[in-house]
Amino acid sequence: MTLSRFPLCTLPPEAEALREPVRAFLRQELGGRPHTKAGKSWMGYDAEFSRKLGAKGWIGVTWPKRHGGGEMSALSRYVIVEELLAAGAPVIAHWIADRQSGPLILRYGTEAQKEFFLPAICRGEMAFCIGMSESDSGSDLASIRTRARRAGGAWRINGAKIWTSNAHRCDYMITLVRTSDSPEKHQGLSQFLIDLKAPGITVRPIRDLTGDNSFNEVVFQDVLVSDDSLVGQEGNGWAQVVAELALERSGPERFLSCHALVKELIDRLGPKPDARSAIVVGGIVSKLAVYRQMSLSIAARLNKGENPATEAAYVKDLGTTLEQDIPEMVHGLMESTPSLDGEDYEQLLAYITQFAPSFSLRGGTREILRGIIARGLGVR
Amino acid sequence: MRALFEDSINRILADHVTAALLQKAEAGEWQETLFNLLDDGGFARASATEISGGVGAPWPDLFPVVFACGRHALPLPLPESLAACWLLEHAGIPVPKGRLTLGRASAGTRLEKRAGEWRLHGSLDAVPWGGAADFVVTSVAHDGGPHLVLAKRSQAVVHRNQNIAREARDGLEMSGATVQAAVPYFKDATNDPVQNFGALVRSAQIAGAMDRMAELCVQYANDRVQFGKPIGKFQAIQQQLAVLASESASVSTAAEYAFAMAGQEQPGFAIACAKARASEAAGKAAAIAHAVHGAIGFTYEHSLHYLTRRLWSWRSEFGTHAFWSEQLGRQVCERGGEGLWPLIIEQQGRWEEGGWRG
Ligand SMILES: Cc1cc2nc3c(=O)[nH]c(=O)nc-3n(C[C@H](O)[C@H](O)[C@H](O)COP(=O)(O)OP(=O)(O)OC[C@H]3O[C@@H](n4cnc5c(N)ncnc54)[C@H](O)[C@@H]3O)c2cc1C
Repeated sequence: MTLSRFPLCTLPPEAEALREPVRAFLRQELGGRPHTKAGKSWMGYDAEFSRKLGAKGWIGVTWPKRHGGGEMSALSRYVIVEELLAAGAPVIAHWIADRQSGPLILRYGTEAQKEFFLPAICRGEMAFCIGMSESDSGSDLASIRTRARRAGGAWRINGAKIWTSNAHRCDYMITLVRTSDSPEKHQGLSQFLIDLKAPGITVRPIRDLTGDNSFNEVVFQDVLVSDDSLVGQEGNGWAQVVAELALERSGPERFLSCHALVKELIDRLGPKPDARSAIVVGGIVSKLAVYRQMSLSIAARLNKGENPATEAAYVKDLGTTLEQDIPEMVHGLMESTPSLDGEDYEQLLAYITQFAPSFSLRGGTREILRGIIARGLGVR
Repeated sequence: MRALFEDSINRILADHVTAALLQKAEAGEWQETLFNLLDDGGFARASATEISGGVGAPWPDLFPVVFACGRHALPLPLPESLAACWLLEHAGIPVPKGRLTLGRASAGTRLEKRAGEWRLHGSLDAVPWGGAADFVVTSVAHDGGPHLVLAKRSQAVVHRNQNIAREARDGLEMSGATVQAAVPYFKDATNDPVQNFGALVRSAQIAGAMDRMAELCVQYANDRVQFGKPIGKFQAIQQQLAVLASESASVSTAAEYAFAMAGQEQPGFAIACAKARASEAAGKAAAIAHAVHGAIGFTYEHSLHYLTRRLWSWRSEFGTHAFWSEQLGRQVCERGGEGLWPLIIEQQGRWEEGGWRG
């Protein structure tokens, strides 16, 4: 049954060839940073870093050259992103655009949209956020109520998005809205590219429990956008969002969010750990290695133009479960006192302990993913 | 070769490994007819080169064969035979005619060379169908490293034993018996080759058994009606099945990856990951399968237990989750935190040259 679901994938030499240059770049840019910074992983924001990465040609690497891309394979991109995450690089300023907004524009966008957005994303100069969730529509995403109505040759948008990561520092949001009423809630949805500086938009920061401002509420009040801002077809929003989620759920960010803590744990245990500690570390490593294989396998299928959305749910569920277990294992293994002003390690542990609950929420909850897996099994 | 193997082994096993056959095997009866059928079909020594009666199949091609042995709960040492043949040839020992199995030497077992002959002092524990085999391959530390040893079963005193699945796991006592051959085996000197390749095949068997178990569970969840609907319509059941399916998929991936690496210089890391993952997932998967099946799955009549009792046995054979995780953990800690990621990458490198032709 599962025999061919995750066919093994090995990275081609041209993809592997990127690894050393990326590592050298990261050593140069990030050497000597405190662990707490690395602990933020892909939530870390550094516009300057993203621009430098863009200058290297490492954003949008799979896109056509005429749009600023590198025409490399998804597996070359895989090498870049996994090295960024393993090093705990601050990538959020370009992460969303590189991972899903750009690919969405490339697939469904008009020529004019591609020309306008893609080169700027590749330079690391244009940040995107994901406008899906609303206060009354989380897991039940298709029930959203933010509405776009035709207003002459344009659209008028009213409503509000919530939990929008990084919106306060982004240039554009790809926003899922309702464009027509339909008895079937998955119909009548559309996606718009919205300039967050447009009149009528208010970005209200929401403090998360760690004290950071990682996400926001974004309110739309009579926001006028032109027809050119529609991505893909009017009414095709649901299918587009589903394709986007396959990209969002299968990458190495679903099992490397705690990598800084794993490295620190290993250093604290030293080269000759006791048996119990070695068992815990080895258990983590065996999962990391296997989940990476599964994630790579999906990357290879995406590269072939397939849409392995169900398999992506497997990787996200397994990976985020591991990520959430890691701080718990650390607490179970050794004396440690997470603290906010203590030494670097204590701060790292404090941050990850607090942030961990979000791993299985963002990008779709555990229960929803398992529902998708169950549907794939044929019981739903 | 892979697709051909996969088709024919699954066909043979589906036809022959019936509940009746499993029950006879559990009663201690060696399944001679089926073994000969598989041997004549070229499966028992497919890993050996043609001179030794095999076809020189590389490990990646053998993955579906060993996976099928797990899926069908085959009560015969076919995976052990494949590993034994491969190890013998890689140590330069000619593969003898006859039934082969694989066994771990107990602590304190030693080799001695006297008058040009090798002798084994000690015992092999829990040898799969040790009593029915003609030859057993083991490894013993000697002169600073592992030696691969080929011994004749007739030289040993057999102590019958069974694992939880009532598969024969016999003790073979060899107090000073001569052995056919003993050769240094330093290919992956950090590990015991028998432990390694035993763990390799068990990980694929566990993957196969879990895969079949997931299928049985889905089928049962669609058939069994309570409160007026199939139990698979209840979200609590769906969520458990999803966990079972992801555990199963991760074990399959882990095992297949280990088979892809098995022909390489240092397959130890991949094998350790595979057996650690498989052994850890086995218990969790068996528990879910029984929960979903209710009382019927707890009967001897129902066939679920042929799989779950194997999972409970195989997870500890050739190293538990704790054993392999500890090995991995020590390897990683030795290198320090910064060494972890490069190690994972290096160990998951390219393997085309070694025979992987996915
Ligand atoms: C740190 C963080 C960043 C985020 N960033 C973004 C972002 O950038 N853009 C964006 O659009 N969204 C973002 N989200 C929102 C995220 O996608 C939602 O939190 C998620 O989809 C769940 O929605 P909810 O929080 O409303 O929970 P709910 O849907 O209300 O769920 C609450 C609980 O009920 C369960 N539940 C709900 N429905 C079912 C069901 N049918 N069956 C079983 N259980 C069910 C859920 O699994 C969960 O356990 C972010 C969230 C977090 C925590």
